[in-house]
Amino acid sequence: MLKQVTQIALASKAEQVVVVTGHEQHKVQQQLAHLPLEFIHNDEYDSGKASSIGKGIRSLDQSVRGVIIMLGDMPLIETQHLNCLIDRFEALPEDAIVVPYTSEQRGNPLLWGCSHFGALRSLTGEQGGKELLAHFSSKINYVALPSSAIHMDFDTPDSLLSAPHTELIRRQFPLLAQQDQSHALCYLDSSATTPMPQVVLDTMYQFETGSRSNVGRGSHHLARRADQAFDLARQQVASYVGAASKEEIIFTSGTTMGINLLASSLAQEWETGDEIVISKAEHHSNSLPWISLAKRHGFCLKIIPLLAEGRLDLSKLSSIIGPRCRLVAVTHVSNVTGAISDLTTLVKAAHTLGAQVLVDGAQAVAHGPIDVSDLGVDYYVFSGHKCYGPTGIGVIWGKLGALNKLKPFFTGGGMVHSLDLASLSMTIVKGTSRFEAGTPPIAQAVGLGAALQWLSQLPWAFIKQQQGFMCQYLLEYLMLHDQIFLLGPHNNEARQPIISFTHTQHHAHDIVHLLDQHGIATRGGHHCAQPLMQHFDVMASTRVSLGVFNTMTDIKYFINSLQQAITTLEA
Amino acid sequence: MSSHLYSDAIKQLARAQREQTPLTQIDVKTTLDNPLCGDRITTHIKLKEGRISHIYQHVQGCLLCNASANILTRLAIGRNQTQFEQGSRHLAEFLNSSSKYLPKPWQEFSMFEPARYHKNRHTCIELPLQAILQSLE
Repeated sequence: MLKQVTQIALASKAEQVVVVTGHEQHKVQQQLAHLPLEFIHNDEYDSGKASSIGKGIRSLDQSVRGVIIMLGDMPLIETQHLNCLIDRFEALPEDAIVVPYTSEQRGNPLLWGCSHFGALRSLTGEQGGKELLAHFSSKINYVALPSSAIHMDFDTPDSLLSAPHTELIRRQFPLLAQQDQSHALCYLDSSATTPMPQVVLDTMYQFETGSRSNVGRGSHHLARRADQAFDLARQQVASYVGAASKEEIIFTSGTTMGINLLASSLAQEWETGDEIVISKAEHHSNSLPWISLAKRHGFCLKIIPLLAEGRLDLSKLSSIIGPRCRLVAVTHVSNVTGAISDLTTLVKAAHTLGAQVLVDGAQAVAHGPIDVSDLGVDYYVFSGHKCYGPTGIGVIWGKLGALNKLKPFFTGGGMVHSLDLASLSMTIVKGTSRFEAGTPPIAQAVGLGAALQWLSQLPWAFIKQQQGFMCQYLLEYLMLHDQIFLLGPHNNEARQPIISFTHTQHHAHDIVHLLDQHGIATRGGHHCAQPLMQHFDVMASTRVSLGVFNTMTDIKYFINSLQQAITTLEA
Repeated sequence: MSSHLYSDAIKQLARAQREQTPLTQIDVKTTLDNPLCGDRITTHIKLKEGRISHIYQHVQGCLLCNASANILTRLAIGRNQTQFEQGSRHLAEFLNSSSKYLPKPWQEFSMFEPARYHKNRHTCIELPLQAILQSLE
């Protein structure tokens, strides 16, 4: 836990990181020995935390303008949180105090300007920095950090792994509260569809009962409210994926529609013999549109092969992506194996030869905010129902320059300035509207915006750590079982919490059916990824996919129920 | 309801199906997939005057599909396309509950009654029969 906290601090913009040790000094130093830290020992740690604060402050260089007092029991604080405090302090005087807050209350850590170092040194006993805030209230500068991480501390690593706030997250999902066949619902099918938290349901209900109207056309007050809600949703989506502006966000009905839309629009600019590259790991929604397109227009489809574990084999990329390649279309995360694709290598290879990169992000968006500029891709496509939003809504993110060059492939209301039947001419509008002909899925877009806003505020460092632990536990169990064959990576590196397996004697449908008797929702079948299943030489597999609400209790219950299901089938 | 679906009788039939041996001589070979889940059945048939004289079905599918195939392995002998079309109709009506009983000689399929509540499993049970029908067309 302490290691994580120090690594977060080291990755921040702070110029110096000092660790004040007390209890178990040598053990702590040994654990952190490989990190570029400065250690100060406080012999009087028994007297309370004030002595540790004083020791730390005294150790600082004279030139230090401010200090963040970070507590070792807050491992969910993220580097970006610290950078937000530092950025805010840059333009402030030396007597400023920067305090993070959420809409509910003040949190930790605080950044103290050097004018307060004397006061901090004079604290006694169990006094902390917060005791001084009342004296210097006029110096407080608040920074909004919309993350519950700033309120969470943990006394032991065990308390971190069974943190009560996972239960708080879970309670936000009405779907998960139900009892199914005398068992509490254990939902392990988030890769197919995620449940919706109450805030999304409320937002959609409020929209439908208070603002339902069409967008972009009406001038009455409901239409104005609907326009505002729709615009806000587009902005919320843009923020979640790190788009440069909301003009880069196109709403669709889902990933499948998004990829088909892009395929048909892009094809208008391509010539016979041009090449499209996909991988063998794609969901049918990112293979069938390109296969159809290639057949219809005479394009050449090239396939990236797979390594034994199902990851993309990029070793022969130079022979696959050639000068006539126009697009590389790959999945970000496999919907069967959970493997994360090496987009950096793919983007470099494609862009070097002038090809664009489209990423199917359907299985990635639910696992934390995306930064499309960091990924360096040209198009990113995903669905709402796989990231805690409603069904019937999806998103295309595209670089503005790339989108502006695309011609729309379907036409209808709201996408032209003028239409003249005599000359059969039309003037198509600029911006996202030209790809959203007809009435868009408005309430669904509003719901998706709320879902992504909600997701962006979750403590991702904690969730990723906990999901990694659960994933590892399940992988280790499955690998120990002689008759179970694991599809995909056998380790926990570069993967999301999606695990598929087959049993040598029992079909996935039978296992999934019997798990359902225990109230467990999983998925069995080919997962619309038949080429990937052929790679593993199987017809169907059982898939377990985790959401932000799952706990170790779910995993242990699943393992126990799987054993019972196998016993039933073998009886 | 679901627990009855995995009755001892169904499990025994599925095990028996896996022990079937392939035919050495065949007239028709048909492979049929279940588009929902990827189950696959390959039917090998030998015909005599338009009727099935020998049959072997290789099932890469679930326990229900195997059990259904095993029932048909016995029922198929001596029957023709028209009889299988009737059987297919009867089975579909029984599974979707529009018919309460199965007529002779299809009554053995009544052991799948608990599957009425699981529509996504109907194709698993019907796949072997559909594969035979396709072979006879």
